[in-house]
Amino acid sequence: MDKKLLIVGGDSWTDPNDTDYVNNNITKIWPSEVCKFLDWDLINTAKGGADNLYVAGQIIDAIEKNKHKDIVVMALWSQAFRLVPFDLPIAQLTFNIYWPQLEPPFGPAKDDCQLTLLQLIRLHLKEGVLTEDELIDKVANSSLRQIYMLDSYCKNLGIPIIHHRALHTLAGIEWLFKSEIDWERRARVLEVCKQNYYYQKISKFDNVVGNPDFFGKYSACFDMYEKYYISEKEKHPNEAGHQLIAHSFVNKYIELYEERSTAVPSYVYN
Amino acid sequence: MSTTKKLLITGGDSFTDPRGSFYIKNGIKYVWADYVAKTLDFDLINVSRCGMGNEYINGKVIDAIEENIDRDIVVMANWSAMNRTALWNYSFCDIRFSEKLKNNPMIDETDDEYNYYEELHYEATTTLRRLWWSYIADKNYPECSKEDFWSSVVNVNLRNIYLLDKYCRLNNIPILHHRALSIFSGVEWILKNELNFQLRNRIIFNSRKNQYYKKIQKFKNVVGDPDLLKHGTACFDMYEKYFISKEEKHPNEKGHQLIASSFVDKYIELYS
Repeated sequence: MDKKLLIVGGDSWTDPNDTDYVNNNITKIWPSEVCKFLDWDLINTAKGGADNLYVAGQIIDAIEKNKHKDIVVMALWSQAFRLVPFDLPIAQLTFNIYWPQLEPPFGPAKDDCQLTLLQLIRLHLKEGVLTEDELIDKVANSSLRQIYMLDSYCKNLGIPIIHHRALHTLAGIEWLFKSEIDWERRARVLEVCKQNYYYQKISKFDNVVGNPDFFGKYSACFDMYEKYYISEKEKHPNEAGHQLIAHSFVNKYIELYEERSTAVPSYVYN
Repeated sequence: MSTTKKLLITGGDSFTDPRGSFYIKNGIKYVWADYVAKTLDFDLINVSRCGMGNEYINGKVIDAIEENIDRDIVVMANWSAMNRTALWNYSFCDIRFSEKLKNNPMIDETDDEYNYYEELHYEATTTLRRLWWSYIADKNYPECSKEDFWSSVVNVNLRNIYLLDKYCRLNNIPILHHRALSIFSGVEWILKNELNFQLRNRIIFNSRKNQYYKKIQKFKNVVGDPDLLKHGTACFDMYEKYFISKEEKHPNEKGHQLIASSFVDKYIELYS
């Protein structure tokens, strides 16, 4: 019998080619650990800086190319405000206020691009073309729709799917308004998103790793595994961190999709 | 009893959006979607927007379906060209990689802010181009050769068309496809502001290897020429005689009636 095929998607947390892993010689990334554990084949479509459209799209591409196989999908989702226009894998726009200064010619080109888009958005807000709440909903909607649709697509095709989040999906949308940390605004973002159609659908998912509330506070890997970062500067998981993430995916898979033992534990003493 | 009627959900660009300034200026109140709904006695939700690309059309149609999932839905999509993208699916963040900087049909030209908006849209387009060129030109980034670049642009667009079709089928929703513009028209403008038929033809030729290209070519629910991706089969190519004017290349009332009839005929053929 053919092995199962695990298809994973995500951002830098899932991408074995991310510079943080390469520079620190970290080769055991959570998807390969899951596959080692369960003896599955692997297609890893993750890319550092990916947005959720990229994550969903690349997973679907891989499913469509491998339809004849026994597929399982695991997605470690990214942040809603990121952009990867046309899925171009090395021109990700992350609008991250902590983004390091990059080398020319890409660095300045990326900065210019992000700055112009921020100006465009902020002009819309300033001129009252739309309100902050409307913008929050639009940004969140396009991303949450991807999460919901991938789930729905897999379920319709009978493909087991499990979700987790590398970063809180909705955190950082407030950076589009102002490039600074603003906890009050972030709380407002979460409040506004609760009304969103897909937010409500995703909140009911029962195939989520960790906190069953996909949007729960501190439920993302970034929040949970601080002790297992490579270093204080490089906030990606070390190998122990990746093992923890892998095990949490494996446990959820067993919980949801594997047959349960019907045996009696004969070692129970009276 | 409005809720017992079927609900038609249409998606598209300016060929389907009655709010386009060229329709308003020329007294054209109804577009093909309105005529279809009237002919078939359907309710209508039209999520089209001038200047939008295929990612937007896919997303907005799905939003409308999900919000009305309890209704008896029919979907009709009049797809757009590959050189358009709306960041975050937000219509005012539409990036249209045109041969020349065009006016945004949704913005009043007499508005003081108009020029600034256009300037920023243009700036966004040029900075994106510069960013992409900087990677393509660098041999240290073999994962983004020019061929990879075009293959990614094509893949994203065709995936959107394919996935809407698949989503509708999985949910037993009848769907028909047409194209306002040739899907590949102007694709080469994404990287450079000039007509280049040689490059466009090469992109089309290479796209035949794309998995979605092959799947879309097998669609049976296409209005007009059965090959959705074939050059010269779009409404823009077919209805030149029914444009508002030589300068205003959008359908007049007759043009919209013709497009509507072709959708109605295909609907009757496949689903009635």
